[in-house]
Amino acid sequence: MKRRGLLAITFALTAGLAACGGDDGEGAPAADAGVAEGFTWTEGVSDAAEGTFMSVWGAGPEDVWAVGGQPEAGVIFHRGPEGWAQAEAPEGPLLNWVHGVGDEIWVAGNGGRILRRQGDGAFEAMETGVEDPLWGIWAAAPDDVWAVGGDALKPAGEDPDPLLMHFDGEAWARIPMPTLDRTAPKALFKIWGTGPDNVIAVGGRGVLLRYDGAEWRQELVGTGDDLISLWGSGPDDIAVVGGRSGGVLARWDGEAWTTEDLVGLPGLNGIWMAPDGAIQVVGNRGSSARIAPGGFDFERDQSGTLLVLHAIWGAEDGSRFAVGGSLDMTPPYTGIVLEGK
Amino acid sequence: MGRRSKRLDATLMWATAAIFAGGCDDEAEPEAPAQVAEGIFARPGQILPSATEDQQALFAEGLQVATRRFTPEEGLGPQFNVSFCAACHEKPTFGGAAGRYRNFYLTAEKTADGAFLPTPEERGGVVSSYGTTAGVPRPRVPDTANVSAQRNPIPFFGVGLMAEITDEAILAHADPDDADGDGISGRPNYSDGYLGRFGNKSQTANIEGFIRGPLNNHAGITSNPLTEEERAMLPVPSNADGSFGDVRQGLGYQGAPGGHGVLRQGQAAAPGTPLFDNDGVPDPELSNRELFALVSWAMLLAAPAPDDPTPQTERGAGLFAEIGCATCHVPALEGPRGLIPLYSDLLLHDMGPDLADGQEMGLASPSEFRTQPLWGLAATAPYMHDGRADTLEEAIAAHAGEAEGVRAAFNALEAADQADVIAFLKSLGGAGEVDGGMLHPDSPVPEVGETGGPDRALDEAEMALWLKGRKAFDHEFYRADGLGPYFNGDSCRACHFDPIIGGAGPIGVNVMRTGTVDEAGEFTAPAYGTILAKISDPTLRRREHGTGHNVFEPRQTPTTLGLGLIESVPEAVIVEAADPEDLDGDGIRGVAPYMRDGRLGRFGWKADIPSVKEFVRDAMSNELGMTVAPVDGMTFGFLADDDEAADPEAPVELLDEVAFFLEHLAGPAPKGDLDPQGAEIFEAIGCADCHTPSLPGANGPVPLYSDLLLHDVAPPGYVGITAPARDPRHYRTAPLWGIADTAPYMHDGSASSVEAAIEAHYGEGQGARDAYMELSAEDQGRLLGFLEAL
Repeated sequence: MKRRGLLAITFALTAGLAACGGDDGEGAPAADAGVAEGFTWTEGVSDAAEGTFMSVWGAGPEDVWAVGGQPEAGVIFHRGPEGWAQAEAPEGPLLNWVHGVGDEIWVAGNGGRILRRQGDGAFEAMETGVEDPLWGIWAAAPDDVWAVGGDALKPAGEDPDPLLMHFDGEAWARIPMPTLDRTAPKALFKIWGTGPDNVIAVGGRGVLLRYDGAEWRQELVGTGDDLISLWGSGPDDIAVVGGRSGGVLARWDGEAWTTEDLVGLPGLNGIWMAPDGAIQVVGNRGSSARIAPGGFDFERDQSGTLLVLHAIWGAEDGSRFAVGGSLDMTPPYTGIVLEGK
Repeated sequence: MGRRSKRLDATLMWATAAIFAGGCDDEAEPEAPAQVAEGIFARPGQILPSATEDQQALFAEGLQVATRRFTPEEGLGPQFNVSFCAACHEKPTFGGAAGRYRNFYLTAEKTADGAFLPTPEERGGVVSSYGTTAGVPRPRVPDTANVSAQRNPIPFFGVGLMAEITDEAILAHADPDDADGDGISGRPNYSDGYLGRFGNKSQTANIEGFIRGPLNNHAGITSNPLTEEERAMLPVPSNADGSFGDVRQGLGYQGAPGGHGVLRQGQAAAPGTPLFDNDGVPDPELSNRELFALVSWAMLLAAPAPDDPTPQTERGAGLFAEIGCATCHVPALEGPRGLIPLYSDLLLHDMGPDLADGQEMGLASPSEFRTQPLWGLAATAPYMHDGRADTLEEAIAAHAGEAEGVRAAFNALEAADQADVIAFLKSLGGAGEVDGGMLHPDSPVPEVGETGGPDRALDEAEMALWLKGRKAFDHEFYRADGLGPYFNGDSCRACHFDPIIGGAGPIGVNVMRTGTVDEAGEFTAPAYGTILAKISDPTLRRREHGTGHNVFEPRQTPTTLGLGLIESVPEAVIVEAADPEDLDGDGIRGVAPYMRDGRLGRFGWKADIPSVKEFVRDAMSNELGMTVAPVDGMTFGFLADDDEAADPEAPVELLDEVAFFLEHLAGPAPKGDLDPQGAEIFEAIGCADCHTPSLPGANGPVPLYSDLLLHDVAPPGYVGITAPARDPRHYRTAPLWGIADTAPYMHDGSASSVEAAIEAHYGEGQGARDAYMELSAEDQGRLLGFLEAL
C-alpha cells in the first residue's frame, strides 16, 4: 500500500519537504463512522431520461438540489417534502455542480455557465466571460464565490491553464493560476472551503491549491492522480478523493497531507464529511464506501447500481443523497439519485 | 481438439497439488485434482478449438479489424506510432508480439513530492513517432518528462482464457508481505476496482480496455466503450454484473451446465469512457461493431500449443520447478474450464533496481512487474518488458529482486541442466513458427516473375543464395549483432513487407528526416545525419530533434520489388530522356540524378543511391544501425558506431546475400490484364510524360512506370530535406508498378489513396493533375482502375 505523507508547504518552499509518518491508517470500523449500522441506499430517482446527475447539495433533508442533464441540456431537480421534481432552469448545456450559501443557490456548468438563485426567485444565468466547462463552485458568502473548471479535452498548447474564477458581488473575474511544480492540468475540478481565508481547489495531475485570503499557492499532496472532489469538517480535517482507475484519498490533519490508494476501490468522484469527521465517498461503478474519522480503511456500502456515482451530500439527520448516471457512456445519459439513511 | 501433452500433465500435477494444498480447508473432503482445460491449444494466432461456428465468423471479422490500416482521413492520429493493431502484434503471427522495431516509449514527469504524471497526458505517457497535424510530423518528448522507459509489445495469445481465471485463483498466490519467508511476495494490481491481469504491470483488468487504450495511444483511433448488452455477447461475457450468461458457454465449453454470473467480476471488459481527439474526424473513429469484433478476436485467440515432451524438456520442467521458477511462473491457474497453463501468477513482483523503469501504474512501483506468461515463448523474442534480452538466457540473467535467488540457482546449474531448462521453456509453444525473423520456416517461394518470387529462373546455386538472401532480409538483428544504438528497423523486412517480404511499408514505418534551413535557404543536417531514428537501445532515451531543426520530412518506405531490373536499365537510356532546361517547352524537365562522384543515382526518393549493393549498405546502417565492412568502390554505410558490438556488424557475405536477393527479386506482377482505355487516358493526360511505362532492361522491357529522373512536383512553398547534389524540391519519379499494394503515396506518405496522390502533384506534374481533374468521373475511374492493376 502506498502512503504518501507530506508537510503542508507550498511548492515555493520545497526545501521544507519532509515525510510525514504517524497515521497508520487504522481507523475505527466504518460502522461507527457517523452512519448507523445497517445503512442502506434506495433509489430516489431512477433512470432519469433528463440526464445524468453531477452534483447534489442541500440545506436540509427536504430541501435538496441536484443538477446535471445531457451535454446540451442542463437540468435542475429539487427535493422538497413531496419528493423530487424538476425545477425551472435557463436553457443551456450540462450543469456540473451546485452549492448554497445563505438563501442563494449557485450552479456551475459547461460552456462557462454559472446560475444563481436568490431567495425564492428563479435561477438566472450570469456573465462569466469564459466558455470552457466549469466543474465546481463554492461560496463563502454571496459576494465571495469561487468557481473552477477547464476543458480536459483541450489540445496541448491551447490556453493550457485551467479556470479559476472569483465573484466579488459585482462580476466574475478569472484569477491567474499560481506557480506549479508540474505541467499544469487542463482542469480544476472542485473547490471548497471552511471560510474566506481557507479555500481549497483540486484538479487534474494531483494539483491542490489553497487560498489563504490573500493568494493562491500550491500544496503538494504526493500524487499525480486526478483529484476530483473534497469536503471537510473544519480547517484541520479536510479530505480529497480522486483517482481514475483506482480510488485515492488525501487527508489534511491541520499540519500535513497524507495520501493513500484505497486498494480495490475504483476511481472516486464524490465525498461528504460529517461534522464528526466520518466520510462517505462515491465513485465509478456505483461504488460507495464509508471511512472512519481520521482513517483510510474503508467499508463498502451496496449502492445497488453500477452507474457512475458522481457526488454525495449528507444532512444532519443522517440522511444521505448520492447522484450519478451513465456519464461514462455515450449520451443520451440517464441519471440516478440514491437516498440513504 | 487441441493437444494435451503428457509432459504438460506431469508438470501441471505439481501445480495442481500446490493449488489444492493451499486452497483446502483441513477438514474438507479432498476434491479431485483439476485437469488442464480441454480445447484451448492451437498454433499461435489460431482460434480456440472449442469456438463455435458463430465465433469463428466473429474471429475472422475481428482479424480484419486488427489488420485494418487506418488513414488520417479515417481518424489515424493526430499523433501515432502505427496505423493498425497487428503492426505491434504480429510475431510469429497476428495476435502475437513484435520485434524491437515496434518498441515504444513511455515518458512521465516525476515531481519532488513523488507524484507520477504520465506525459503526454492524453496518451497515457505513450510517445508518438508521427504527427498528422501540420507542423508536428515528429512530436517531441515533452521537455518536462524526466522519466523514460521502453516497452516491447506483448502477445495476446490466450488472453480470453486469462480473463476467465477467477480472482481467487490469482489471489491464492499473493503473499504481499512475504508471510512464508521465501523472499518472494507477489501482490495484485487493480484497475477500476477489478483485479488487474493484463499488461506488463497488470495495470489493466479488462481486454476491452487493453485494446481501446493502445488503439488510442498508438494509433489515435477513438472509440466508445461497448454497451452492457454488447459486453454480454462477447466470447467471454463481460457485463459488469455478470448477469447475462455463462463464461463456460461463451467460449464453447461443453463440460458444464449453463448458469449465470460465473464471471461475476466482469473483468474482461469494464467501464470506460468515450474517447475523443482533435483530428477533425468525427469520434468515435472505430465503430462499436468493429470494437466488438476486435475484442472478440482477442478473446478467442488460443493458447500456443506446447510441444510434445522429450526427455530433455521433462528434465527441464523438473528443474524449472526445483530451482524456484515456478514460484512466480506458476504453471497453471484454475479457470472455469480447468487449469490454464500460462506459467504466470499474474501478480506483481519486485524485480530489482536494474529492471526498474520509473513507471508507476496503479499500485505497481517502478521495479514491480507482472510475471509474464511463458506460453508461446519460443516465438516472441526479444524478452523482458523493454525487449532488452535477446535470448532466454539473457532474460533469466536480467531477473533480480525477488527473483535473485532463482537466478542464482539457475546459474549454479551445470551447463547441461541449464540447457534442459531452456529447452523446456522453448517447448511451451511457438517453436517452429519462426526462424530468425517473421517468415515462417515453411514459407513458399512464389513462382518466377510473380510478386515476391525471383525475376528469372535461377540455377540451384543461385536459388540457394537467393533463399539465403531472403532469409537475411527477414532476419531480425539483435543487440548482440550490433543493432542500433539508434535504429528504425531490426530487419530489412521490418519496413518492407507490403504486400510481401521485399515490398513497401505502411505509414507507420515512415522514416523521419530533419534538419535546419536558415534564412538564406541553406540546409544543414544534424550531426547524426538527416534520419531521426525512432528507436534506441533500451539503455538510451529516444533521440530527439533539436529546437533549431525546422524542417521535417517523413519518407514513405518504397518497394524493393524489381530493384535488380531497375538496375539493369542502361544509364544512357535514363539520361537520354532528361530535359533539365525544358528545351522542348512542355513544362516538364527531368534531371538526370547524377551524384557528386559521377555515378548515376537510381534508388531512393531522391535517386541518390547508385546501386542495389549500396542501397543495402545504406539501409543496413541508417535504418538498422549496423556497421558495414569497407569495400572498394562502395561509399554508403557506416564503418563504426558506438555500441558494444564489434565492427563491422554486417559482414560482407551477409550484405552480398541480401543484395543478391534484391537483384533477383521480381518486379510487382500486374493484377490481371491492364485496361487499354485506362492506359490511353494515362498517356493522354500526361502521366506517362514522367511515369514512362517501360524502360529497356538487360533481359527485356522493365514495366516500372518511371523515367527514373528527378522532377519538381512539390506544392508551392514546400521545403524538403535536401541531399548531396539534390535540389530539396526534387524527387525521383516514383515507379508505379504494384502501386495498389504500396500505400501511402508520395515521398512523405501524405496521400492515402492513388487519387489523393494524383491530386498532390504540383509543379511539373500540375498539368497532368489538372487534366485528371477535368476528366469525367467514368474516365477518372478507368484511370484509377488501370493504375491499381499495375
